[in-house]
Amino acid sequence: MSTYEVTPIYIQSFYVQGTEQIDQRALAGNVQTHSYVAASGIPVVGSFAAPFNYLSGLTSNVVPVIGAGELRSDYQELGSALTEMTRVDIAEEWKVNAPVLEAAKFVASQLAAGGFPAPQIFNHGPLSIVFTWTHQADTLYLTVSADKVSALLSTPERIKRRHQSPLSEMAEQKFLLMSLHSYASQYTIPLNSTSSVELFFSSAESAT
Amino acid sequence: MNEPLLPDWKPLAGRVTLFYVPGMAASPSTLELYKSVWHSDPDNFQKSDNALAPTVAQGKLSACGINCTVQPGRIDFNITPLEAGKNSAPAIESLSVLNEQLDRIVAAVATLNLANVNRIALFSQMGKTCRSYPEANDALIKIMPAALGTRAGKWEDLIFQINEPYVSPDAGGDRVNLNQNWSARKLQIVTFGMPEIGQPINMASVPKFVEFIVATYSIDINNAVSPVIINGMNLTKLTAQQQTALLRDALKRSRDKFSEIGFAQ
Amino acid sequence: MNLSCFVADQDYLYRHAIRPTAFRGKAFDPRKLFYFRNDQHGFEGSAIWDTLAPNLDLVHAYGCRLAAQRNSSTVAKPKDLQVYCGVYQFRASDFRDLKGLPGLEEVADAEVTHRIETGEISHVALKIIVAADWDDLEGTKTAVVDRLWQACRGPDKYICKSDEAMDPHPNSFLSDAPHSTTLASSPMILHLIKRLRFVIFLTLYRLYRKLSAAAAATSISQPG
Repeated sequence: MSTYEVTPIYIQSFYVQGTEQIDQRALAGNVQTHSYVAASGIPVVGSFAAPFNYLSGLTSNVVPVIGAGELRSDYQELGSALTEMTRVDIAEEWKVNAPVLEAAKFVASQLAAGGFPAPQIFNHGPLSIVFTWTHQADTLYLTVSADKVSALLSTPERIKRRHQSPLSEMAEQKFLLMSLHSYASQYTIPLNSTSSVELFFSSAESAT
Repeated sequence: MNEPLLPDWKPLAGRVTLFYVPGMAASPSTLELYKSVWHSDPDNFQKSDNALAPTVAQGKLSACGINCTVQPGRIDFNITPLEAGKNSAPAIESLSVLNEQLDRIVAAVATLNLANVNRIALFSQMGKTCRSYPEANDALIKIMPAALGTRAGKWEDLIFQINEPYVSPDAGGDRVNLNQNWSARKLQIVTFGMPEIGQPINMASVPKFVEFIVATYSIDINNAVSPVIINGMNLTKLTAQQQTALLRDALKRSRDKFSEIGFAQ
Repeated sequence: MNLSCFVADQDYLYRHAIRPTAFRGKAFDPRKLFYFRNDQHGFEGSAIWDTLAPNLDLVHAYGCRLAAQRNSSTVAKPKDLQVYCGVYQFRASDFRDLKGLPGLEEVADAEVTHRIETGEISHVALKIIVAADWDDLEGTKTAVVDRLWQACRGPDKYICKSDEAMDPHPNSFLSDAPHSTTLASSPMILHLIKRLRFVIFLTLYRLYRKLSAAAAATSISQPG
């Protein structure tokens, strides 16, 4: 994945012109052709570079585009792990309910969009999936249930802060974001995501 | 201020986006969404094994490409060009084609009754293929508001963007962003062929690169989500009527802007 | 038979790491080690008590039996076979001290209860009772798992006989516990006391089962 300077004021358009495949008989010479258009000099060969910051749908004034196939490799692995947890034939301890998976996918996509490193995951059974990040000795957990997210920051010695299931209070949402922010400030965020992380939290803080 | 007609400008892309929050037992079906809009099976359907990767349903009409993409938290209906010209960037046949498809998508949104949608967005982009950056800059200056008083220069990668938000009763009195963007950008088109399994790699499979310098004008209209949190998740939702009303209003405003500038229909 | 009153704070408890073979990617967190099921007042997990499994051979044998039992109860594909990988160790006090811990104020009680399950005499239940009005059980589980993980030692890796041909064995993916990678052991005198208690209890338990079986046989042969 190449990194490059992203002009922060606008995310350029990027669209898939078209793929022609499936019915190979329809194509001359039994060749499948794929054409992709990328903006602003981003070279695209085969797999896509991850060309832009996807600001959270909650805070951005500009809606960026997406392109198929640009999931970061660490989130690809996370996505595969989430898919595994829905297989009907796996052990009971590893299964999660469909609404929990939907919530976890949503949170994961928001995290990916915010440029956070992909978490590891585990579950407590079917009712929640826990996202974890460890930086040196500190750990951040996000427990994702079907309808809520709980955050926990801990050190080996103690639980530092917890964010319990809130009831329509912005302050707690802000705390959740600040938990992530305080973690993120200790972690090296890739160059092409820095502005989005800052904007993510500054927007959230200014909104409160 | 502007030329009454700008025939060299062509539509490059259009998109309707619906952002949704979890609450449904399963993600929306990309296939069903595609069929709801275009009433036919897609030519190409890709469903990834990966829970975070998008699912894409893609097809072609006579004058443009169409696709529906669903990934966690987001549904996109895209209108795209079919293929590039020899000497120009790929473009949709005409603005009327783009408008027709956007109208179609918005009409379908009214019938989809999608729950848990908390944000909508409409995107339209026009472009003009130019021979050089100065030519692109000149083309942009001609369609920028004169009050800005900008002079074209030899700079590359010009990007200028403004947001003129407004309050919409259709969004419960919340604000709607109306972003306009003027950019001179380089589009790179890669074409490569993949031989059938078992067939040798041939010349058709060597990637071919074509570049165009394109002056683009884009409109991105989207509602800002109200910061109301319920149980840890932003669950301010738009009803189907609100979604449709917002999109129709956005369509009208974007067309008004295009007319104001002088893009040919 | 319930020996809960004999579970001392300094006693060691063991948690077995059992993995489906497919789940060995980097995406999965080692804290999956702990598994808690919801019950009426909170949630409950399991562990092995060293007093009734006084050496590591017995601890590992339990793990192998547990994995075998899980595989026999389901028709698993090869990549989903449950494989016993090793144990992690913590103290009973590490669990009991969760009650009243700053950051876990909702925990009303944390108790280690001896409970024989499926014939396994060394099994203990790790029971958390939360405040009646608490509505974030999943968040509490995460906090409990976090504290227990921080207290863990290990892993002590193991390969069951039935898994000797596996290459690579999933135990190579076990993460080091934060507290220490080496299991602690009781002082010799305490170890000897535990062994004596183990022998006494095992004998009493076998006698109890024989008497129970005989009583059941007698009641069947003399109905009414």
